[in-house]
Amino acid sequence: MRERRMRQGMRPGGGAPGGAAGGFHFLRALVTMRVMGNCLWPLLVALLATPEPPTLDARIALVLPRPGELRWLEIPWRTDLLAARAEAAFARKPLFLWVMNGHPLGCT
Amino acid sequence: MRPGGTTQGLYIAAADGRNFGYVNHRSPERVLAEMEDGLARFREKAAAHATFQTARGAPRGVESAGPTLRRTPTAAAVVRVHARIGPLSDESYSSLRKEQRVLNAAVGRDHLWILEKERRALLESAGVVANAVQLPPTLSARILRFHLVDNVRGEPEMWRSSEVRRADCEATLIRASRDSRTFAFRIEFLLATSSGERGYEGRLEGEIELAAPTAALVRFRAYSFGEAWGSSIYTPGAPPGRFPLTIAMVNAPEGDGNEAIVPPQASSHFGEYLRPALSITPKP
Repeated sequence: MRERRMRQGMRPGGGAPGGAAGGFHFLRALVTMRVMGNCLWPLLVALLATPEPPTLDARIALVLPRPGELRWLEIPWRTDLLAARAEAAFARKPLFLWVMNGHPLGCT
Repeated sequence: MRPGGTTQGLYIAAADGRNFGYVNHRSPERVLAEMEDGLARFREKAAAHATFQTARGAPRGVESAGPTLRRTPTAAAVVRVHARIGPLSDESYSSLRKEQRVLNAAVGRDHLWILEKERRALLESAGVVANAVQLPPTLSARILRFHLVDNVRGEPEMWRSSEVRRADCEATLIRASRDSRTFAFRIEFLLATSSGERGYEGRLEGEIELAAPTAALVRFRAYSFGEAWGSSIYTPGAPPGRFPLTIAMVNAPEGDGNEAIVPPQASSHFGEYLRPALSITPKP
């Protein structure tokens, strides 16, 4: 599912940078079509299929983690190793340690 | 674990430090199998052991493992930063191996610190609505060098000051009320290594709302869209050529424990993260 989104997901910005990062707005397409005639219907259809989200919040929402990508936060991770060891000893349970360079909770 | 191999990974251990399992793999099946095996070994060898009652404590003078993490500077505001790749063309997508498709479909995660003095400087420069203002240089440099990165496949190399090739900044006061000021900002940027093998070119747009007169962060949101290319040493497998990279930034909710604890990836270079420099002067 995630892979399909990466491949086909809504275009989150607007085209390529270096002049094109500003995006291609629906209104501009509509005006162009009215000026140039109905020969541009196929172009309009293509644009409608990949609309640019209209607001900053909508564009941001496409990037933020989806519920399935936040499930690891349902685990009550401890971030203080020594405190976790003491707790494990008291509870007679093993520790499950996620050890990474950098910060596992902040960066994949 | 092989001698000389990485110590990164997932461990099952007893409180006294004995290890009962280790795996450094992304496969859920392999991780779950190792967890079950490790738990079985623990139950067999450790659960009834007398030593289990006395986990060795911290070394003398050490009260907590916490200091291994950078503390969030006093009054610094924390912003979540997320990155995604795509959508990719059919040709680009087809060229990726299966595991590369999985990695490139992930979401990058990091945190950005906005310092109190930066928020105060912005607030004090506000003037009247529609006035142009200057983004604090350390804030724009921090965003450019440490947060406009492709961290979708893991930990990337950050941009050196000389790798910020273009940074055209605009900022404007767009709303003012008795209690707050809201600024809109925009940065057109080109970031690239000297070899040109890795880069990111695009535009960042955002808004920041600050409480008046405290300069507390009320709301921050920003969105970057552009094309990236190349991989870092530890993030191989980027899509070929130029590919879309989007980055979103939103302020963390008050009291969110992870944001308070987990520092920005680049804060391991603490001084430089707080006071980053650029080789160029951003165009206002």
